[in-house]
Amino acid sequence: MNKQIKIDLDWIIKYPFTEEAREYIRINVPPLEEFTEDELINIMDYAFKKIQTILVGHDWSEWTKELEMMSYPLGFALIKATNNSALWRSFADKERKRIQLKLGKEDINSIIYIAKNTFNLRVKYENNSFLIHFLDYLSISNKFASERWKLVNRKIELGYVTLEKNSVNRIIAEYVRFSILDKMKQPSSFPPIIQKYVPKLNEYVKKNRIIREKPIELINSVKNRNDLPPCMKEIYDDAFKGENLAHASRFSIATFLISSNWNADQVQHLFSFAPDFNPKMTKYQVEHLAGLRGGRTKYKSPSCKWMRTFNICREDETCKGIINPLQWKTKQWRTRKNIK
Amino acid sequence: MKLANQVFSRQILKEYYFLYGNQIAKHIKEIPKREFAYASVDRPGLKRHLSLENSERLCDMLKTVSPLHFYHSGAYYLFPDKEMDAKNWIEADLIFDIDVDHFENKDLPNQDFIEYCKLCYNCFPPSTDICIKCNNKLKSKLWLNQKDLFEAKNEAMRLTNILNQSFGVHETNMTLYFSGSRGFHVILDKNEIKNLDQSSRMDIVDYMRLTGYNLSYSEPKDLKNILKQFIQDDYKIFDKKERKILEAIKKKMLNKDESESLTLIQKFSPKNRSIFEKYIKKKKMIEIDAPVTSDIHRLIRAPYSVHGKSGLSKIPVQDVDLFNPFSDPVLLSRRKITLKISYMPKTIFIDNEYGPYFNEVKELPECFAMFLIGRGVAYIV
Repeated sequence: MNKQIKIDLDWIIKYPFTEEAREYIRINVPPLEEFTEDELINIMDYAFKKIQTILVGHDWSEWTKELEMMSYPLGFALIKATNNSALWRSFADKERKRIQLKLGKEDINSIIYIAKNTFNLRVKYENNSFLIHFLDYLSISNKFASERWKLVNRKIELGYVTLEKNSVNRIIAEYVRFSILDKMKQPSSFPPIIQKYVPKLNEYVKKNRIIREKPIELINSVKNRNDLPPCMKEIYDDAFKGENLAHASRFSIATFLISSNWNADQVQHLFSFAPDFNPKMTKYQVEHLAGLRGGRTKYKSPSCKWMRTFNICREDETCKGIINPLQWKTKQWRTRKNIK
Repeated sequence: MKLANQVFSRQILKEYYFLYGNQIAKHIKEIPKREFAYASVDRPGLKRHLSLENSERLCDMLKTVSPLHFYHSGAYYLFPDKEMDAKNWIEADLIFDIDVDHFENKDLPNQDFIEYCKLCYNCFPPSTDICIKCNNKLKSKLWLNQKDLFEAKNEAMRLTNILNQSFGVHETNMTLYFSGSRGFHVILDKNEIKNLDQSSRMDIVDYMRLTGYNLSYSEPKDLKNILKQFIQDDYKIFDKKERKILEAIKKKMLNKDESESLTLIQKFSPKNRSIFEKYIKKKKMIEIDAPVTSDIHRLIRAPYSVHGKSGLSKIPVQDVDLFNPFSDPVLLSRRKITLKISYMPKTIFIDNEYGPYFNEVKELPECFAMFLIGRGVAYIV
């Protein structure tokens, strides 16, 4: 263990996802069946209160360090037991933000220690900058929409990407988010006390509108040209003009429209204006993309990043914050209704 | 393909794969996990989703089929012979393809063209407009020449340099191949790299091609050299409007040192910034073919197989400086054969100069005959 890092109860509470914290909790928190019912109810109540506070985005202040430490696995299990992936994501994101704030107050050694020991990241500190191996960087950065995170806008030397403290903290916090979601997805069984709190939590989530309900119908409908994002609009117009579309353009418009509930015949009609139109071949390919042939996999509409790589992205101010063209229509709807 | 050409191609390829089958098998790692595909001399289309148990089976297949084109997947699968969705992808080599046909920003002033007729397939010298036989309007076709391949070679060297200097990939962990036609392949097959997902591969493509490059987030790439280049440039590859803006920027930058120039760049208006970004992109991007690198299921020509459109083999390049693309990859037979050439410009092949030939019958080495047949300008008589 690194001598400069002080691992105490404060550390365990701050970073319960670390190897040391998990080991400490495993040793010091007895199995649930060893608690008396009163003890357990008290800790469970505490965990429930904490989860409620966190989920609505308020700050949580601990009552006692012991209670905080003991309640963590219970709170985690409660969220997991809801079997609600949207709630899992919401909790993981709140934890991600909390960790990022905490890391902001840490020194260089502690940050490097967590990155290395918990997530096996190749991180070092040289010449007043953090350096992270490009493979570790890419596995997180490519999930971000902002161009700032693209490798092309970073300095990279001998396999290491140069980062400032905030960015390296964001990367570590994202690893925390992913590790929480991974653990949520692993199957497990829950004791009755946890099961008892699940309906209460579900009710709380519903009452406080913690999870945003997506207007599914809105996402999946393209009724006319104005429902298309700028990139798809251009391809759509070119298709009707009878332009010879590149493979990437054909693939993206077809998968986009299929995901927007167009049927294979409607998509095929769009391609019928192409100079090299072959009805049999087009039908086969469109049906393949729609999952009606072959392995029956319905192909997903490519991401904005994919569109950029193939030089068919036509990003404008209406695209801000989206990472897939399919999100565009919902974004316009939210903007119009002034929903964040 | 004409029947006589088919017979000749089949014969020469059969001999080739008999001699080089083992070499191909030796150069493909983890054969049972790869998908194989080939195109044959006498049947159009690609036969895909083939799986081979080991190198012996691979050699047997090559000797039996003697393919015109032979490919393997960059990916490793659990079930390589199943349909795409059922193959069960495990990992994939990271592949870069440099192909002069896809160059966007490089000036290739010395390209050779031939004119060809879409109806009768006859070829003519560059100045001809109409086919003498069918009165049809001719189409231009790029001829494969050494000068273009020299440009591709430079680009491949820039790529390996960036992989080494920026990405820290050691020379021993990447293999440079001549593609057998108009460029080079660079293949990385170290374990960790093979696990990269499609999104990460796209990010690497964007890094090489400077897609999404934004001066607000990063300093100009290779600042010192780009400034030197910028000051001396005549901006020929830009349009008139852009050239005017670049000239104005140049005026401001004259006699300024590196840090002063950087301050100036940071204060650029959005329009100037975008043009300067475009300049850097044109000068510094590596002309890799984006879909090849980002596609995790891509098929790639097998090492030591023959490229059916050139008769040249895809071979590893040990010393790029000494590599001669019209001599080193010539592994087909050098016996002589007589063929009729519709039209070909002057071409240097295995250090001999041939042509230009227009409607002539010639006795040429079989390897060169295969080159001309592959380019569609000759047939066996």
